[in-house]
Amino acid sequence: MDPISTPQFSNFEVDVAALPRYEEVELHPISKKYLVKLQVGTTISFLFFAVGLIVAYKLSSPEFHNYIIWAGLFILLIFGWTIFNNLMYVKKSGYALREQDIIFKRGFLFERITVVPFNRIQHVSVERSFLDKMLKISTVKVFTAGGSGSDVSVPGIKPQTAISVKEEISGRIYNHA
Amino acid sequence: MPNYNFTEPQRQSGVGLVLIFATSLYHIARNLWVVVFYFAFKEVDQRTLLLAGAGFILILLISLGYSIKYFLNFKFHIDEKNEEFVLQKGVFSTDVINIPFQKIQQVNFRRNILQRVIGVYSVVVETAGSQDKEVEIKALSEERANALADLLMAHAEEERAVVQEEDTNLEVGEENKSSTSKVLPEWEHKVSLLTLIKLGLTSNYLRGVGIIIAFYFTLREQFMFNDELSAQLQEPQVYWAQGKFMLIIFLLIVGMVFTVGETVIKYFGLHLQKFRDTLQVEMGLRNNTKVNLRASRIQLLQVLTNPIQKAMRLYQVKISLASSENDLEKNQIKIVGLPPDVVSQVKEYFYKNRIQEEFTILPSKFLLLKKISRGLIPLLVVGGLLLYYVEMITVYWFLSISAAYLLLLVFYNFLYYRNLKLGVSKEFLIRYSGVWIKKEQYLEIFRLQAISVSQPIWYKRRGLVYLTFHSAGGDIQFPIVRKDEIQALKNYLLYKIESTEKHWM
Repeated sequence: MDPISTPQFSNFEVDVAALPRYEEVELHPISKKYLVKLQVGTTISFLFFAVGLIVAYKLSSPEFHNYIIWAGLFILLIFGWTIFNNLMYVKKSGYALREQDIIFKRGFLFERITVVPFNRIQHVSVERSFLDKMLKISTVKVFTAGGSGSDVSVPGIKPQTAISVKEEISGRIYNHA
Repeated sequence: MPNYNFTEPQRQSGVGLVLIFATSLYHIARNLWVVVFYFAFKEVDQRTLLLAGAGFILILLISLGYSIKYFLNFKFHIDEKNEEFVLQKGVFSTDVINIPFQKIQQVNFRRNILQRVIGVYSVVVETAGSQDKEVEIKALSEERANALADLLMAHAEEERAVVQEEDTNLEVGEENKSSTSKVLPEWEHKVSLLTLIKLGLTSNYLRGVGIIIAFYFTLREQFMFNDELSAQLQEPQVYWAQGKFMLIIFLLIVGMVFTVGETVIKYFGLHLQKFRDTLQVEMGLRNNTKVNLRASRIQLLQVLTNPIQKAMRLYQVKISLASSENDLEKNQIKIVGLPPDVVSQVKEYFYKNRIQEEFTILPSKFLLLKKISRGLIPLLVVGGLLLYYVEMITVYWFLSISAAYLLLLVFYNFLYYRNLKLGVSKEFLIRYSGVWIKKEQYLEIFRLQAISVSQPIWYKRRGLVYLTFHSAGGDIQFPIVRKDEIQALKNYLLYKIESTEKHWM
């Protein structure tokens, strides 16, 4: 859709059609290793439930067995859905740096694109959990003054890339301050 | 005005000791009143009484010692060299808090009843930092408090002026200020007691009712361990159960009285004074606060009213300052009972240029559809359950009730949908909303922190999105608009944020 076709904009002195468009930027995908991390997390929590249910099955009297089987099926269904959701989440998520801002897109069922201009960033950090270290990925976190809603945390970036992204953003923030 | 030298570490006013001691006594009393109650109601032998008395005196002595030590150790000063405000405190350990000038957001005054009796002010330094959100010096004489606040604010502004070169007339202003500070205000407005009562009467009582119910339950819990008292409290409950209708009327009246009382206590003596570069807001009966608002700190401004209050020319203005945490409500300053011309005066001060809307964005019809269909869910569930137990209610009743519900639902959501608008001017975003309470939210574009666009997968084909504008004073959400309609707006907003050199705070 061409923005100039929206007639309301004729009043602005800025040529809106000539502004850079965030929607045309090609996003960098996040690492597939992050998918591994998600799936491991999901599987571990699933195993907890499974063990709980098996123990309950063994201990309870036979009249409850039916319910437990139903609960098991239900959890299996959720597990399957979560695995699929994780897959799509990683596939759909991505980030990009422009000259003036960072764009982060995430989510499958609810897609959300957040754009944070560099001159509004308070600080940047790179974090790695235990699993991140094993998988050799990092998370870049960008903090703003707008509360948790506008903070961005980009998971699944290669450590070297993460550090250079951080350095890049820090440099740009410094230029504005 | 005597000259105070704040560069040396100094203590609070001497009467501050009284305040600290009284406050600690108050805390002790609050924690121990149940025990006192216990002694009052139970028979006790003399030995226990003697022991209790001795313990009580011991507690008094300890808290007196603690208060004195606390008072002596509590020191503050302004470090001109390092450009920071320094506060030392602590009884057993020493805490040193350094606040760089540029982190200072606001310097406010606060007074509770005791502080008013002994004639001192609390000076509250609010910061934009994450950890120590505010620092309070509890006992300063009025003159000293004013001098300290002026000095701190001047330093904070200076720091900002270095960052923000465009404020060229600031130096001139500074000279004027030191000689003519606290002169007559340019304009002022007082909200009378009658207005506050009117305001309380036209507010939402349900909150008052809720608070009373919650209060009742906490009271009951507190007394539960005492059999006698709980038995006494159970009785009226039985009595109430007999007349539910009376109970509701009673609760409403109590809620109304409570709401009026709360409004009056909270906003008593509300006084707006516009000085050259601040808007001073003073209010409160129990806790009197005095806040100096500067146009440069306002992140988000909201104007609220409901139809009855509108007819009586009562508007509410909510001002959000930057807060690092998510408790955005806490950092809001509410000014109530203002006539429309004062509201526009306030707006004029904060936003010099008149706001001229270039165009408006309306939500998509799917919003109305979504709202109505969401509202149908409870009806369907109830209907389904009733079908199960058919004999419980006649079809006639069911149909008429659901028809009434449907009518209300459609009407309400239609109003909601019709009133929701997003106005865009060159410098502002303005969100209009509300069915009963009408709300206008003003957000300066350069104060935006980030923008989010979200889209549930089932709106992808229709090209509908939710918009969220993040500001340091809270988020503004705008639901379900056509993506192609806002794409250009979003690019424009980003361009505006990224091309501005104005500092958002």
